[in-house]
Amino acid sequence: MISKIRQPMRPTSQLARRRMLQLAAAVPLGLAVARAAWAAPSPDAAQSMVEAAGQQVLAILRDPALSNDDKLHRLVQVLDGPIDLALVGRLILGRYWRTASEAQQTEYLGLFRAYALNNLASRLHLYQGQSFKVTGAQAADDKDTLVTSQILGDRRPPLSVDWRIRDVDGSKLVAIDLVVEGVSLIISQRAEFSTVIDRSGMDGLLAELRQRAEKA
Amino acid sequence: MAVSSFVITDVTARAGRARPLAGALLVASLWLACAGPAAAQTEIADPLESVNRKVFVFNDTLDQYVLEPVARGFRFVTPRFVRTGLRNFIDNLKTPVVLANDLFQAEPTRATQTIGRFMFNTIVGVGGLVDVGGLLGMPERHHEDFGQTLAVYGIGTGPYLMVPFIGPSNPRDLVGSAVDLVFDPLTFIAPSSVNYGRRGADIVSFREANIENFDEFRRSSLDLYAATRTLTEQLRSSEIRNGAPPDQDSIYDEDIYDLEDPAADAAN
Repeated sequence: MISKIRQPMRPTSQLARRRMLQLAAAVPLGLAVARAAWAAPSPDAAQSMVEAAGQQVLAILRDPALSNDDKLHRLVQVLDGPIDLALVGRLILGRYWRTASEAQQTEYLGLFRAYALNNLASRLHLYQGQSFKVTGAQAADDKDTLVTSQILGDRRPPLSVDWRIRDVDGSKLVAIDLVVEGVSLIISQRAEFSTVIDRSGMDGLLAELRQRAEKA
Repeated sequence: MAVSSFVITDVTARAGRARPLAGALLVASLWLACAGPAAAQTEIADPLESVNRKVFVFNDTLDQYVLEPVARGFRFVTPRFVRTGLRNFIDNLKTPVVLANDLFQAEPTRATQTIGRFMFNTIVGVGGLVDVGGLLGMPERHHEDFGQTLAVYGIGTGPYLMVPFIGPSNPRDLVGSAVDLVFDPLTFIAPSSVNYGRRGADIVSFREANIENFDEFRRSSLDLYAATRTLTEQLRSSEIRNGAPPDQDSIYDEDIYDLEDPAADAAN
């Protein structure tokens, strides 16, 4: 079989850094520290975290007593916990995070949280009453575990959703990216936000997000 | 094919496989001749962005005033089972192209699935109107084309192109579309009206299935052009990898951007 596609090479410095980390982890003294900060969540724990989140979402979507507005409102509340939107927001900005002022950073994280939750809730809302199944979990790298799941529709092909799970402070598992049919939330938003920033600066992005927040 | 209904692809990207433009092809072949194999990119090269954006506005207007109304009308006048049957029928007709590319990519398992589904669907499923393979629990239908085959052979996409009437594409995939015509027996045996009708039905059927997704996508995007570009690229790469997860770990590293300590940054 021909290997599917050539992957981009990791920059050497990063590779070297990883090597060093691995070495450091082998040193007994460093072991305890490195473990806590770097270990990927266990597949079982990550899987049950995703299952719990999925069931919460389904319960809302299927509740006949809730109006559409109620459902959207409840979805926003439920999604806030399992996804680390502050981290996701920083990862999306990438290098632009550094150059933003502290005030811009704070405002951005607030606006991004609302923007992301509204979008996720209204997309999920398109999937009324369909079922959700976790199909597996495996370590993605030394920090993250990838949980694969499917949303099953009655007349549509199953939709694949991968959750990237990280143990942020040694006690709480959170999702740091959702990848739907190969489309990553972080990559998509980063592409879009950086285009806006390149054109009209960080203030331009904040203005756009503020406008969305007012409409919502 | 990963016809995602959660996110959308641009309908015209798919239609583009069928109707390459001669001019684009010429450019494409020149590019392929001098480019050679290229590594997969995470950032999309878009040197023609200013022209592409103008074409995008044109295509987008066309979608809003022609394609979307037609798709809504189609939904209004047809019951769901008719639309599903049409979708299955169109997908079944793509079998020769998918099979040829399964084989070019040395994927015997997927080739076998393609043949099996075609036999069941054509014979038991009334000429392809019923997806018997799906009812029997076969793996999800996959799509292949010669653009993907070229990618598997290590050919890079070249610059992102927004093609009038066709949508987002690139030189590699435009060449792929032209080559796929040769693998399709209908190109040679059916009158051109049938071929055009089939392409048209494919486009309208896809647009109808994704009405809500397009609406949602338009509503949530801050920059529709940039959003379409990354979506197209990600869906296409995922298709090329046959759905396997990408190697993109670096985007998840907080510390390469010094993200962890905003206070220290602000102090600088």
